[in-house]
Amino acid sequence: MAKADFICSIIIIVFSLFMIYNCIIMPKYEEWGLYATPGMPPFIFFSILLIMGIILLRRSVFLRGYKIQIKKDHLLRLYHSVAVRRFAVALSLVIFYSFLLGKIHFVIISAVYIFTNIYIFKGTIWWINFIISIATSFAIWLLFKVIFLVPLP
Amino acid sequence: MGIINLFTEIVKLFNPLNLITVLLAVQLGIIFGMLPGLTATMGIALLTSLTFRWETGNAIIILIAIYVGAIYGGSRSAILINIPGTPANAATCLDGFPLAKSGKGAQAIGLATMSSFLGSSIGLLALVLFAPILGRMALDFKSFELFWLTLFGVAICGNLTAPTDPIKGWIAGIAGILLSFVGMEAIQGYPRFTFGILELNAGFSIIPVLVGTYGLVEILDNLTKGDIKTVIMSVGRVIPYFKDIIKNGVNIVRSGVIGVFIGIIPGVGEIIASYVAYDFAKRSSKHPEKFGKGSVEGLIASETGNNACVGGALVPVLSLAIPGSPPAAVLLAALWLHGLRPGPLLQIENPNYIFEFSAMFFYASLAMLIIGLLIVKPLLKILLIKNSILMPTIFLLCTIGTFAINGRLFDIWVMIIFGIIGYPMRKFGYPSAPLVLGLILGPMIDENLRRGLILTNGNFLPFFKSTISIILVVAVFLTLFGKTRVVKSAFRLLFQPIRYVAKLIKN
Repeated sequence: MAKADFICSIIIIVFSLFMIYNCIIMPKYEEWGLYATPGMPPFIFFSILLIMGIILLRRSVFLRGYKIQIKKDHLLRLYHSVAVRRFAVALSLVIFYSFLLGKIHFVIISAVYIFTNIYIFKGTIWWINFIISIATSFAIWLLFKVIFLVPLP
Repeated sequence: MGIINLFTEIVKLFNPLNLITVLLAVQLGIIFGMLPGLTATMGIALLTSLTFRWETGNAIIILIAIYVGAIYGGSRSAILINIPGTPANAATCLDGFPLAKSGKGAQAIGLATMSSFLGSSIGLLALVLFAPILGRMALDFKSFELFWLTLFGVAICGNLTAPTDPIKGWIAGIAGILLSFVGMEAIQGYPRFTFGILELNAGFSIIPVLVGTYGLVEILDNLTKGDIKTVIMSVGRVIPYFKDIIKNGVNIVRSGVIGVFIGIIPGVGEIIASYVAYDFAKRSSKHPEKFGKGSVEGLIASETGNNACVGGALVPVLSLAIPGSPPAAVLLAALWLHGLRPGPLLQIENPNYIFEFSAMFFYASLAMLIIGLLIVKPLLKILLIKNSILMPTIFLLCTIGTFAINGRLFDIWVMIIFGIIGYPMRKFGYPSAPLVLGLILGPMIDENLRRGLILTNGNFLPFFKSTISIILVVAVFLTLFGKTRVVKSAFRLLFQPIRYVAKLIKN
């Protein structure tokens, strides 16, 4: 966890510094007083975030979290990891589905999304998968679009 | 007086449509709670968006029923398959599953149902009695006190949701507060941190962020883990024996009170309530050695504690607009979306609403008892559905729910981005609850800080002047620095004379 903390703290510090700069360059509105400028509350809270990032960095450095080595062996293990592959596939399908939403009819794209998921993650045999995908997306469309009158993408 | 108002509202709400709605919603909530991977927060977030266009009364009663049902429903899978349906039921596994393994699964479900109902009843009592009092007290709060109160809420939530590493909880809380600053601010109308993205002018809606951090993260996590082989224990007679309940009377009341008080603390929630209630029951039990091996006392304590916490968590929601738990935070957002203004002004604008809300809570608890005892076996089949089939379907519902609020595809992308951010956050130990709480309370912090400073011409002193402010400042200070060596030694020094006097008296 020390290595993860080290990376997180660096991200937090860089991000906080960038945002503090953004707070400083916000307009001042002199007539309201300096204390009422829109950048003041974010400035305070980004400063607190920066301090916390520094505390996290200091702690992770004490725990030798800076000793990050990226070896070919690690990358290969990551590449062959089942969990990483499953995560990458699940996320890609989510992004792919969201990208096509609104461009293809909801029932079609949703049925394809469910079918692909069940197929890849070996949920069931293909023809049951086919029935589940079509029935689920149609039922959801009917329930929300027709009965509850909820707008669908 | 409060009880009479509650009865009046119970009678007013008594009609077939409401009863059917509550029964169906509680049933849905139980399913949400039962299925590992679907949480009460996710269920409420999803249903908030799906019922957004409904009439306010109907929508809110559904959300309360989902909340009550889901917190109870998690006990089913905890008892029968040793997997807590929601994190709130993790303590139930400790004794529920050993009971089921020894052939007492049905008895365990019956006792869990009854103790959940009794816990909810204690929570209801707390809601009716404390919410109006706290609401009246909150009317005296000015900008300064509100600023400290909201800050305390985020700080303590960070502290308690990341007990091993509070700094991560605070970082999540501050990130939430900062996220709420995105968009057009309320005093001068300046668009902050929008970076030219037009859609960000309105800021981040709560629902996409919630669905992303709770729903999508859960979906990705479950799909990554893969399908779990489920073996369900057999179930017989569920109705509990009266003597078991009577024998545990003190345990039930104690766990209920613990649940209520933990619920009132901002952002903490049912998980901690059930563990603390369980711990207290173990300490005061005549047979602590049985805990973890199938103790009825342990099961009753954890289930009473987490359900009592629901009522407790709703007390600050209605009286201060500060949620006591993550699901209560979503419920608060839902109340806002439906045009209600929880907080000190609620009692002025809508004097009877606390009691109407409590009556809804009563019906939800009653429906939970009825369904919990009568419909057991058919529901268990749902536990056999594979993650790879269930999760994509849930994702479709998340998408519809997110889109339905504003009709913008942009919100779906916000949900996905927060899902992507939320996943490593969870893996690296940053809790989501403070982030959501910060997002909800951020505008209050911003407005009250700046309004307070405008009123005092930039003078910070009034922020530390009133008694309430001083109490809250001390509370924030102790939450943040209470565990540091300096503060601990200072306390030791402070109490040294008292300890000395006590020693003298003893001798």
